[in-house]
Amino acid sequence: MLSFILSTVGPMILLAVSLALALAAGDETPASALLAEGRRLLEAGRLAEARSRLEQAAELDPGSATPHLLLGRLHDARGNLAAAAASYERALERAPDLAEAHDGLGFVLGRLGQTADAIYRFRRAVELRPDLFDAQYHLGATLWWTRDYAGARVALTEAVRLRPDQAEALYYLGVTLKQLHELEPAIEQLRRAAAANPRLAPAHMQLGLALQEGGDLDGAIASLRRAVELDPGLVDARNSLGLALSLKGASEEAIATLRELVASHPDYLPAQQNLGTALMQAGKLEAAIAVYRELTTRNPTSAEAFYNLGLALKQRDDFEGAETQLRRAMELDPSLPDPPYTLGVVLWQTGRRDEAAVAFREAIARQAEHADAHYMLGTVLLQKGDVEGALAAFRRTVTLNPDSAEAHLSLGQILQRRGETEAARSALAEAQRLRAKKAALQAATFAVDLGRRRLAQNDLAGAIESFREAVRLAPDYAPARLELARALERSGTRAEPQR
Amino acid sequence: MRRPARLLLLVLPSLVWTLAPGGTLETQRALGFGFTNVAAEAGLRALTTFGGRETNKYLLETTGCGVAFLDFDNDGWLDVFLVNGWTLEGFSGGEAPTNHLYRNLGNGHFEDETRASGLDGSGWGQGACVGDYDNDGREDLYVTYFGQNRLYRNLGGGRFEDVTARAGLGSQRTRWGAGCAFLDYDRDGRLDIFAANYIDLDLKTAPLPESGLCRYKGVMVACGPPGLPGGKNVLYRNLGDGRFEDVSERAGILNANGTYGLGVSTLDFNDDGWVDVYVANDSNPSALYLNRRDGTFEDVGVLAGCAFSQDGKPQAGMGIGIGDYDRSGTMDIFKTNFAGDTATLYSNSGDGFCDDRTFASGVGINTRWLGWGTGFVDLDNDGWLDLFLTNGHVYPEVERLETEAGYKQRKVVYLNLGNGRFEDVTERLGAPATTPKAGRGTAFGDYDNDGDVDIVVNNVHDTPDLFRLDTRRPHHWLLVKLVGRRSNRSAIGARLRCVAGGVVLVEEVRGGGSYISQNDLRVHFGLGDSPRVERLEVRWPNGQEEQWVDIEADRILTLEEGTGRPLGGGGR
Repeated sequence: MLSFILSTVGPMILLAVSLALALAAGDETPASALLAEGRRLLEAGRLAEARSRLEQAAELDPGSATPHLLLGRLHDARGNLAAAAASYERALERAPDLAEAHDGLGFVLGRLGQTADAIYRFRRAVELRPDLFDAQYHLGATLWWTRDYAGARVALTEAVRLRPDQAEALYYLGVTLKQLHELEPAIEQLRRAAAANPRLAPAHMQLGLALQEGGDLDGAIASLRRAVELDPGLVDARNSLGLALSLKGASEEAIATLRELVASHPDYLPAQQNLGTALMQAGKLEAAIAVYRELTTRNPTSAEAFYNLGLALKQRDDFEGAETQLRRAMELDPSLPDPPYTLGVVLWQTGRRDEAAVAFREAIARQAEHADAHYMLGTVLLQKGDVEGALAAFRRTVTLNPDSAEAHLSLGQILQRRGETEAARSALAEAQRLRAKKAALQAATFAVDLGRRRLAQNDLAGAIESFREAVRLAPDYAPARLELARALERSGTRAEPQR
Repeated sequence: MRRPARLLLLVLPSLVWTLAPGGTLETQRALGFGFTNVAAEAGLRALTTFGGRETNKYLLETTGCGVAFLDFDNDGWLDVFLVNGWTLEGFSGGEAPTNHLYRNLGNGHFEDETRASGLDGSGWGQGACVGDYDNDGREDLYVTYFGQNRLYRNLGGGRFEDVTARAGLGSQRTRWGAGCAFLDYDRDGRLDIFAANYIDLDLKTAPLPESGLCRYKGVMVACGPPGLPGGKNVLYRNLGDGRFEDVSERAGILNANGTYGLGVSTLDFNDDGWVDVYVANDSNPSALYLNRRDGTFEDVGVLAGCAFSQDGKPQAGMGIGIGDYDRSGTMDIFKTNFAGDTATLYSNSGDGFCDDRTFASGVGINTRWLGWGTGFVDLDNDGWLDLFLTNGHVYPEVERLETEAGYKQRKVVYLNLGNGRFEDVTERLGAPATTPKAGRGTAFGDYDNDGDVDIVVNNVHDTPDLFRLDTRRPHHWLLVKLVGRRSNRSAIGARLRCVAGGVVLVEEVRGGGSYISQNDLRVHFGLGDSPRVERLEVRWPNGQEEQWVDIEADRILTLEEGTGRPLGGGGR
């Protein structure tokens, strides 16, 4: 009996005692004392007790918004979004300019799927309190999700300014910049996010993707590996890792990574696509074909799957099989230019020039700037005897792709046969220049490699000679200039004048 | 033990078909011909050593060796010269591999005459070509190397002498010789020498596979040729006193559009009586050196459309076949290329251009094989030139990949259908055509003098193949040996026009050919159902034209310059 009495009246006695003590200590009002207590309990995670204090505070001070604000957070923490929204609205009835309440309400509305309303609330919050980190961050992240990347950048930049070490804000700013094709700044923010929270797997993943896009495969692989270590369930990271390994030439590891992913997530089709690509790159043609066939069975409406299968069959010289799959890809997605382009090549290789021309024209209809399609159309037209048509197609090609040595060559050969000697000479010279430039770049990479080997053998003079040769061969090849500068610095020689 | 088999062959020809291991009897009968690999039983057992077996550090270890058919002892039977290679590790004394000379005994067997002949040279041997450069009636040999090319003068009595230095052919530095050809480019009656040079390779500075800069389907492989300095081709003019002069620069040879030369063949592309040269370049536009008739050449390959693929890309050209496959009277060009690409068939338009007929002819259906030695050859003597390709991958590392083709690869045989198109009949032929080998140099010649053209192949890290061709159908043939008197003795550069049964067949005596190899200098004609040749016209290398009429078919005919009926037109 005593224990029952104590269990029911005990807390009330304690409350009365604490209130008395608070009042004795000089607190303003009982309501504010309850509010303070409620906030403390909320922050300590003692939600039931916190709720009781806050509701009492609200009762004692009906005009105050703060208890309702805190109740909103409490309900949110308990997952009761409707109650949280109601509490925030009550807070706003009492204090319409309470930025925190707008932010809190926005946060709840966003998760209730009322995105536009959420954005409204966030915007209101930042208008009232531009220095409110949560509001800026929430606004930025929500705008990212709704693909308003320009707006997201503004809000997130401000959020990061307010809290430079907040990993999630840095992460969102990074992915926003990546969407805006500002790759280097994106990489910088994502690096900062990963440093601020080394266990934030998505940051490592997005950093890896950005590095891959920037050509730093080694960096990409390292970041993607970290993402996968932190969260093996991050299938996009595992998939991207497999693709990066394949691009790096680490075929066996790429294939193993992707096979594992396909086995654990058989419905995750991007992994199967990349597995097929990795197998193709490793020369495992039959295995790639098997993977692509599986994909077309499991995803019969995927134009990409049929296209990849067609490409693989073409590599096996199975032109009939390739044609079937490529035509299916064309039907499934009338917007994709590559299926008709590749079909055109298959038809051309099997001597069906008329049909090849039709296919190339279809590719051009789907993508007017498809330089390769224009070029191949020109090639076929020339072989059919349509010299004027070929000429027009080759001219279009060099307009779209001025670096196409083949197009300049073909143009020159036609002009030569027509007796337009000067124009022919110019076109052929350009073709030769482009080929020579490509060859020189390859030679420059070898020269840089030789220079590095000489450095490793402590032959500094020899290294400098090699790096100079690399720069001579390809003046715009950055690694050559960088290595030469470093080597000269080591030798104590002044750096060579920059171009 | 061997002779009874040979006798059996002669007495009971039908048994050949039950004994032949290739394809099925039915398919061989339907095709009208079949191959039997008789290398081992014939005694061709030399192992060709060339670089590393499983990995190659440098491209030097990948090119393999050529082979030459020649009749060094003038007994009317074709002998075989096989070039041999080396390894990076080298060999201790006595174990070094050497080139090999095999003498044809005339009974289907060969005897190894290497040591006695003086042709037991060693090193990174590449190609070989044949010609009587001193017009003494004996065929001489020029052998190319990574290092120093060598001229071997045939002394008679089965012996050769290395006269390189005395002939002024020594080089001050290491060069990578590839295909070569004897030719009389200035029509002075003396054979000159053309040699392609592949890469200016310095083993001290060349990048290594482990640099990661060079990959094939993800696997690190030997680097090049792109990125490495290209070799310059060379032309040596025969001064007539046993010496040669390097006239490369003066003759315009150095002004080619491309580099990385491999296969070489002579041909008269524009049918003006002056010998031209075609060079298959690797990863660069191939070269067609047109003889300007004034001691110079001009590379017209790019302008003439004979240099690139039909979509304007440089290809990895290796071997060359020259012949009139479409009976248009002009010399067409066939070139083997890399895996992932087609071989290339250029039809000579007759007005200075090449028309690429790769896809239109049907030879563009194969991209899996990596081609080396090749040639136009009338396999069934029906008067239409067929095609034979030797294949094998460049990189032994490709064995790690599950690619369909692998390092050792089958041959490809295209049957000429007579309508501008070819059909791949390899599978129908079966073994040995479908037997995978790492093949390289290939030479074509009738070693058993039975009227059909046989094929010898130099394989890497393996013994050679000798594909004896046996034809089933009763088609007629003619094998012609030309002997120059005012022209060079070997008659290289001569053009023959054979009229039989209303059909006109045109052929040449060529230097070089295939992949860094030399074919039989005798000219073969398949005559189909014609038992006689109404007329055989010969334009000798010096321009003199003669004809012979009413020739019985199915024989080997030797024609000497000056013994025919003049045709008008003259020499120098």
